Amino acid sequence: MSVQEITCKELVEVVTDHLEGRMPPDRRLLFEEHVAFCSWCRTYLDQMRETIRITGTLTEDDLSPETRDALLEAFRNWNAQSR
Amino acid sequence: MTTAPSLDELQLLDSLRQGDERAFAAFVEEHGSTMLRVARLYVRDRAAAEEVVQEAWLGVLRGIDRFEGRSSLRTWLFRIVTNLAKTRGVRESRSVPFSALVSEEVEDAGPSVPPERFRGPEDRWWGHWSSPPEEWGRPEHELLSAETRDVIARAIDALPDVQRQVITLRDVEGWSSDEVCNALDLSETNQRVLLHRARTKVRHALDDYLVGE
Amino acid sequence: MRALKFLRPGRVAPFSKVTWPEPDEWLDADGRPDLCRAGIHAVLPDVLAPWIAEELWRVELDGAEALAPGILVASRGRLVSPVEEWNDETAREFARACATHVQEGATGRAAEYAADARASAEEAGADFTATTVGYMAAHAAEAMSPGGFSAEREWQSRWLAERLGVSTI
Repeated sequence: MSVQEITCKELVEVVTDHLEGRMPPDRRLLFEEHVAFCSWCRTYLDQMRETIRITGTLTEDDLSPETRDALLEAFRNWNAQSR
Repeated sequence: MTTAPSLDELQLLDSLRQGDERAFAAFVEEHGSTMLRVARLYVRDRAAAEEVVQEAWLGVLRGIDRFEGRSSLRTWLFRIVTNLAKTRGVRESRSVPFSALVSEEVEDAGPSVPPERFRGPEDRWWGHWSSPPEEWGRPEHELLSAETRDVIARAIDALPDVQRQVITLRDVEGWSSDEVCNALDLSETNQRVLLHRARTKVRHALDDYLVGE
Repeated sequence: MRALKFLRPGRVAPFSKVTWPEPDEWLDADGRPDLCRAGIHAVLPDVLAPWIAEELWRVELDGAEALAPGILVASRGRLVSPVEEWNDETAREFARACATHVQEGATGRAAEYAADARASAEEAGADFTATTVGYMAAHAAEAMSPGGFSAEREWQSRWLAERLGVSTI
């Protein structure tokens, strides 16, 4: 294709480059020009953003109360010893 | 993009050195989950991972006076935890060197989306979606529900090792690209490729769950 | 410097999703991580067509540089006034004009692209659908003659600018 454009198939490969701000300005322009008319790629891009956003809310790895207690005890011991 | 400790971090360490228990509470609040999450990158069993955190904490206390601030606090913690976690347990029985894993996962080529979802070269609109993504259209509370988060957590868990590490540190923990490259000794390009692969798979898992097939 | 900018409903920027403040209030890219890498973009009348969205605004930029022909980037900008003439009706006129412009003399693949444009023109509105028609028509032009794509997009932009009275801003 002699038209300078990014196709949908290419876009899904470079979407992370775009989100990371790692596209040279001329490529980024082509990327945005494509998203401006292609609602499907816009959906894909939005879904990527959503995925990242939800991933950022994962919290289930809180320390158990037992571990917290163990850490506190260790801290107190250390504190007592080094004084 | 700093790789040195912030002023807050230095103050926190100072207060810890003085035995300030509020500083301790602040430290656990700030870094506890991260330490556990990092341990779990290498040690599957949760109880075992918590033990790693406890051991790591001892390492922190032992090293706190010598911490010179040549790296950020979180990089320093990360190293303590990972050193212990790696010695402690290996997720799979592979003993492949890290650099080989990276090469493997970076070259794990194949397109992000199955090619049949795009129009082929014979089509006048080749390269465009033939089977486009469907809008998720879910309300906020559903997207942030425990179920949805669980889908993502499981998808991350199923990733190859380094992709899992990169996406966990970047997107779950919110580390910058520089911090992750530094901590995992990755080039920016490799880090980005791995992040791309990871995010693509996680999005796909979420899409399957929300839209089905 | 005066320029034009398309925004989503509610003055929302299409890519950064930033909401522009009300007219006359400056939007500063520097203070905002979501903007500072890309800056604030706007276009000149001859590059309107590819960027169509629901709202069209006259904007003023501070310290603008050309990113590409007709595409400006600046660190500061403010909305001046909406282009009231831009709405679903004029968008459909635009779409029809795009489709019609490539009907004549189109054969083979060009005719197929032109037919796609004609079919989509009737459903086009002021959202992305109008520029999709333009995109299809531009491909018809390219199929008729190499280099036709960008020439056609330019023609479309000039048609639109004139129709909306924003050829000189």
